[in-house]
Amino acid sequence: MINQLVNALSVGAIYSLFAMGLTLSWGVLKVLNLAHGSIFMLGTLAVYLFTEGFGSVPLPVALLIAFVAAGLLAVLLEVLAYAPIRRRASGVVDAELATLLASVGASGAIVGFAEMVTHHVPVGLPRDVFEIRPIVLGGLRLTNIQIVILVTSLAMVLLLAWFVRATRVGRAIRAVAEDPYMASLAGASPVRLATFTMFVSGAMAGVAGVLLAVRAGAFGATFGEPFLLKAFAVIILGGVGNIWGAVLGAFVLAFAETIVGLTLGGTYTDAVAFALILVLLLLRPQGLLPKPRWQRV
Amino acid sequence: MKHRVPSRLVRWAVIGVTPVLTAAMLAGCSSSDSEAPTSSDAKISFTLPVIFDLTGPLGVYGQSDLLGAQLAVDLANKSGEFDITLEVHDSASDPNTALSEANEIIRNRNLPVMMFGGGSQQAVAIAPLAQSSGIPLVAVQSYSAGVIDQGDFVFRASTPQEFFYPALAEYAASQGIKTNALIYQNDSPTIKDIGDRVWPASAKEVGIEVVKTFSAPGSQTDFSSFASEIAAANPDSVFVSFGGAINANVIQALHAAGWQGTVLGGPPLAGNVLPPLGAEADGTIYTETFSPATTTESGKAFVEAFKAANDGKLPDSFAAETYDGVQVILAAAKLIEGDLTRESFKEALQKVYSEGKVSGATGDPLVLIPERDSRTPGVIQVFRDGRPHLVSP
Repeated sequence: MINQLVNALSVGAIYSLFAMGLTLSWGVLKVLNLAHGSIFMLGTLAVYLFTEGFGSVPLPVALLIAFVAAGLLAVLLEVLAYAPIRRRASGVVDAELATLLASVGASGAIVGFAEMVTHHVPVGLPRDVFEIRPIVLGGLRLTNIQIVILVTSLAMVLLLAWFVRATRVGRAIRAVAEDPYMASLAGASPVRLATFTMFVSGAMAGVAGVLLAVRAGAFGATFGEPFLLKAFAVIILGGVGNIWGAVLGAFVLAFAETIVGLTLGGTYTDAVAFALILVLLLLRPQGLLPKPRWQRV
Repeated sequence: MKHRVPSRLVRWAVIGVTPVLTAAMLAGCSSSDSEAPTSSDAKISFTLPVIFDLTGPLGVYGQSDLLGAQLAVDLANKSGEFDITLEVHDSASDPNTALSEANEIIRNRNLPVMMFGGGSQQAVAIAPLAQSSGIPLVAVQSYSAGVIDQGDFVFRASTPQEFFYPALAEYAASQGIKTNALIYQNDSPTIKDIGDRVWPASAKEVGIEVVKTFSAPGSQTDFSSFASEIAAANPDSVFVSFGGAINANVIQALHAAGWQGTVLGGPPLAGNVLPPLGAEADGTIYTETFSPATTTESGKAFVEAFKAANDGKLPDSFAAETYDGVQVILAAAKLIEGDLTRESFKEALQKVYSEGKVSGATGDPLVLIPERDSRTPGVIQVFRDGRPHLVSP
């Protein structure tokens, strides 16, 4: 049982890293970025291509490559597609719908590029990027990569939470999320902050992708797609735009999947997990940790 | 009062309509591009449309399918006997896309026969359409039920996987394997049947005890919980069967959980699925339809021709199966006297399956049966040092 607990924790850590980026872009920019899964994949693909061309690199360097590559790709999407769409949209709802559609197209293009580069076959990172080793402590068996995933996820969550709460830029991002117009009047640059937010969103996905690729052993062009639906579930569970909500939602989903998979079988994992989300939405539609809403009286 | 249509609306209407019109015109052009098939003393000429899973999760197999079909067509054209144009369609590992591509082929009356290679879900989707539309369909892979049972226009050139697993179980038992766990994909018709029925029966037949069984959909992203349970049970072997790269993820998860036994499997482990794992895949034993170490004359000729056409790369079973599928179609084309119509192709294919002797990559000759199916025996291979090694026969 304790091994299953560790498994669920490391799965939850991956989900939270993936979902945090998405909740940032959705909560701050109202961008429902369906290309997030392909950004997650492309960060890992960038590492693979780098190692093919220049030889293997240690994991920290691989994470850095994915961080930068995925972050830049997200920025590219923001500059070329999402920002122009938001500028031209007649309202928030129109902007959300239009960026959603644009992200579907972007995702297709990114996956198509990846399929072309990998010749449609699965690839893997070199073994010596990170040598997976078991760690046995009595009845507990885990691997070093699970520890790395947990620690990295925790570090990034804490860093992001601190950044958003305690730094000037973080407060500006929160201001833009509440009211971009008023934030601009107060001196914040919504354009620059949107670009920065998308970079962070993509970068976190890139890091998650590399960790998962090391753990999984092989990946393909559609590597990120199954995670997208889970990420939406995580965000809705936790409350849109709430970092700690995304983390909580990720672990709730991971534990639900693990329990269901072991007791009822893998057939029902997705069904029961999403049924749980449906029930929660009916009972608490704002999510487990919604953003506080203020109202003048 | 006159109302002017806003220029922005006009601009968007043009942007929206132009690609639709262009696509429609191109579709119209492509339908009429393929010429009517002919058969004369000079050359047998027709367009062969093929639908493969070239992209998506099963793209790893589909790319090999295309190489095999392309080689067969190129060699046929080089022989001087044929002038065949290969028309390639991508089903993208999706049944709806497969249906859409099949519809496009069926609408073109100049196409007398079609071929499909790929996942059973796609095969089960298009087989009824081929039957009801009266176009002969030669399916490869497509191992599940519900394909050839559609009727006399549907033929299968690959032996269903289920006929290979008894031999795999026997071989595993001969290697001292006594216990087994099973983990398979439950939303693929073929693999589900293998996991639910075929493998457990095959294992039981030779005295291998299945101690744990897990199944998951193809969208499963994590197998660590199943792997931990399997590691705790510590069977001698684990039978793994999913579509595409997921197989590698499962094997990695098993090793990470501390299990070190023998991985067993079938055709889903073939092709380019295991190489990304490197040494983690060493020792994997699996059955498939073809080995590059084949000893038949036609098989060896196929291997050499494939290597020559693909920079020395060795063929896998997917390329071999589509190569054989094309051989079956060519054999049928040669039997037709007169016009190459859908009806005449159907009759000719039935003759090939009843009486014909077709040499191919997977058999010399292929074992075809009058029920429009194949029973060519498979092979058992062990994966080591980055490639498969033939161990049986």
